[in-house]
Amino acid sequence: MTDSTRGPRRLPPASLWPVALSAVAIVVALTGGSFWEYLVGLVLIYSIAAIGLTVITGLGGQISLAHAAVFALGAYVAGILGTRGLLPFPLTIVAGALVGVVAAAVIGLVVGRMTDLAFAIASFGVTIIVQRIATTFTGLTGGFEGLNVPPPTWGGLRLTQASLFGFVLVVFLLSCVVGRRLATGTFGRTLRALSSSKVAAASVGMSGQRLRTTSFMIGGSYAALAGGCYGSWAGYLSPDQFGVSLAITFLSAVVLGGMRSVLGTVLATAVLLGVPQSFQGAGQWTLIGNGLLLVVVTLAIGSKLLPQPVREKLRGRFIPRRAPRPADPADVATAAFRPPASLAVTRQPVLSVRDLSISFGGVAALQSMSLEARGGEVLGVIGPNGAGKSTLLNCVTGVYRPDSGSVTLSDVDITGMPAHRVARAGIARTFQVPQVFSELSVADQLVVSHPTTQGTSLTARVLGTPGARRRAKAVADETRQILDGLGLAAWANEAVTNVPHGSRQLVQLARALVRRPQVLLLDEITAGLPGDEANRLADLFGYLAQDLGIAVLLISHDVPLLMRACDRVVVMDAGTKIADGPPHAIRGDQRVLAAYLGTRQATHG
Amino acid sequence: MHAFVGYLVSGLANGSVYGLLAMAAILVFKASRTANFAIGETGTFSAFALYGAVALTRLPYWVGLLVALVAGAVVALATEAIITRNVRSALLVLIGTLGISDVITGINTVLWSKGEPYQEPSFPQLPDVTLGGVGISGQYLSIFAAVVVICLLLYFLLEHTGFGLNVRAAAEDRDLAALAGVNVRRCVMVMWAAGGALAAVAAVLVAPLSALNVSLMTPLLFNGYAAGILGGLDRLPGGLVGGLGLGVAASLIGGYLSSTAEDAILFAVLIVLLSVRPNGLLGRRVVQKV
Repeated sequence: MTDSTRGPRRLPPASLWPVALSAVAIVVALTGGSFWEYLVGLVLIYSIAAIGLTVITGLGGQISLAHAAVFALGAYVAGILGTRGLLPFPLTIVAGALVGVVAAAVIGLVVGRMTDLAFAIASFGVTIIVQRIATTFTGLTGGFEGLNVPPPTWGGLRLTQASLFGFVLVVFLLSCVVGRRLATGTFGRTLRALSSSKVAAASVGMSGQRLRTTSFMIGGSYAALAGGCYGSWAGYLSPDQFGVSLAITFLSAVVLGGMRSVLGTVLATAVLLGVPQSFQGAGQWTLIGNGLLLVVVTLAIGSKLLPQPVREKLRGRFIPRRAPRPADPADVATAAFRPPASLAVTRQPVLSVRDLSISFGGVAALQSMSLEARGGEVLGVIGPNGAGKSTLLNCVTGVYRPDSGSVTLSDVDITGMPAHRVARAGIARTFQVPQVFSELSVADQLVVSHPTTQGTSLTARVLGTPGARRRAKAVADETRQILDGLGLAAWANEAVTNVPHGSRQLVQLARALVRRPQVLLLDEITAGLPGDEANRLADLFGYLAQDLGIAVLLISHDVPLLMRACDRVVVMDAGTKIADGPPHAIRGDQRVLAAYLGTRQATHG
Repeated sequence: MHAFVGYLVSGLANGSVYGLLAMAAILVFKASRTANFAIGETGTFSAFALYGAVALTRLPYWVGLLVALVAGAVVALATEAIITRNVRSALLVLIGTLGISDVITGINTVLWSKGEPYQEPSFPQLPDVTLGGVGISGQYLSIFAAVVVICLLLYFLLEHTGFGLNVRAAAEDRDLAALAGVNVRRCVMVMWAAGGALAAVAAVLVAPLSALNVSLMTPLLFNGYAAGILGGLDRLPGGLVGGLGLGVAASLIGGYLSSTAEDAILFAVLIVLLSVRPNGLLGRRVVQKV
């Protein structure tokens, strides 16, 4: 795995704590009598489900109250099959998990288009629906009467409570190990990237819908597995066990555990289940205590009340020690970065925009805009504020769908394609207001954006197969080289939120470069950078175009930069092209002077 | 036909309560771009405040109502001050308000759980009327009247006063409003307080119809939010429309299809509607600027 991108901050040896926790669980269960044995088993089972919700909510940022529903599905499917004696015990649980995964996939697909808040409410509805189904189909579920789940049998043998405990413990251990790999590996970081900026995620080829559905399926499999265990452990299923309060318990465990820590989630589950049991005398006060705990933890994680260093620690962020050094194009030249072989420096049109128009509420932002970007050429786009430059970029990259006109990339029509498919087709971009993955370090921005990371199967990544390790190593090396080349090496392991605005532009550029694009679209990339650094970038663009054959399209207000960097300049005004030619010709064009430069003096600035 | 009108009227009455909660949700959303999941329990707290004032200390109903409104506003303001003002992430705010919701439920339980259910003093009732042979309870009529008055009041305050203009500006774009000299902090607080007061009204209206107990508003919270999201979270009238639609739909489903699966069917319809129109029925599509 890409260890270079992770700081040495986890205290206990990572792989040992699930074992340690299991040892504690066994000791408590053995010495505490049947009450504690039951409670510990319950904590293990709820923990499994809560780890699944860590993937959905903690990493993916989706507040799901449907987790109780999937838990219930797993419980009922396994319970009903077990009651009828149709399958041996482990297979009943597998069947429950399969149904849970399918249900979770449907939830993930249906909710894909909703806003976060709408999804929270809709997912509440899912829990209600499943609860009502369990109440209504009394023939299968026993309805309000409940369903007595017989002690599990396996190969004709009845499992004792102790061996059932052992089974649960094994499932728990596996859940912890896999959960931790998901949370700390590239998949977890990819989900965090998606939840911190959907637009940026799409711009590096991530399909939000697909990632979200995957995270729901993984989280759902956890919940359904846990549900299956729950039925046999509790011996009794009834609809009122699977209501909103269960959903909120799972959610609370994830938050109390620190949102994306598997260990934290497990400990929080133990607290949430154990504390009320231990203080039963407190009765009515436990609810207040629970609520205060949630409030305090929420404030601790998210508030500005705590002193800055404490908050940084809690979020695992550290203040950088060294300032970055300026970019050096020669370093990028030595990077492993190579464009696709098909990309000879041909100066052939790679990106063609024809008659593109779009309007927002009656305001025409683009009117019949056309341009061509050629491989091996740096093309500048200038124009006064509101000329439609950024809108043009957004229409090309699928952020907006144009009203009419066409965009083709190497003869492939990409008009109106969703942003992540445009990115995969070979267009990379930066945003005028930097869109970075605020939850990740600088290096991880590149790691999750790398086509090799995205192309490695999730199973291989979780299992840590030799192939996956080799690919991760290659990605880490390339990431380091590109960051080196852009002078960002000192920032590599810092949270991107600690990087100043100007350098965030460079982070976006680095992220775009790992995509190995055919076309690179840069929106005001030099804004916030000192002049000498802007000049170095101008040289870098020349190198990217001439040596690597990339079509570089550069939007800027910085006229001297454009004069220096560009082979050709397109001038836009009022949503359309008013001039197109070599920089020196544009400089003297009267229409351009009138529309954009205003006075002759500005051109000498 | 008589049955239908009956379902319709009771659906509209329940829907009015959902609508009030939805408008409370929308005010909070417009003020802070987040949800206040404590709003249901805030309402329950206020309904108990009214009960305490009127049934225990024998204050006149209108004074008790004022006590309830103030209680709702104060609890909402406290929620805003504790959670929303300090926590940036919308996700954490949402969970923090769930925590506040637990705390309020706990307080309600400690104070009131002995001796429930209580009989909430009733809103001054209009006389029963008969429309085309169908009797309509005065209790429902007073709910309709109260909702109409509240909507007119909100409309007047927001659309025809200088302060309402400030509030709308702050809701549209905080930074721009602040640059134009609007006291955004105060606008946000007013919207939260108004949200709390609306939740109080919803609880005070619905409590006399059933029994007053600590879980009075718990099931209604999600119906209120569902109504808000169905109508579209960016416009107040959307909340009322969503609430009435949801109430009537629930009542008809409950009457003609299945009373046990009423809410399940309702949420199934909601999920389908939302996956077709993610921004609600009246919501505007928002173009993200990058």
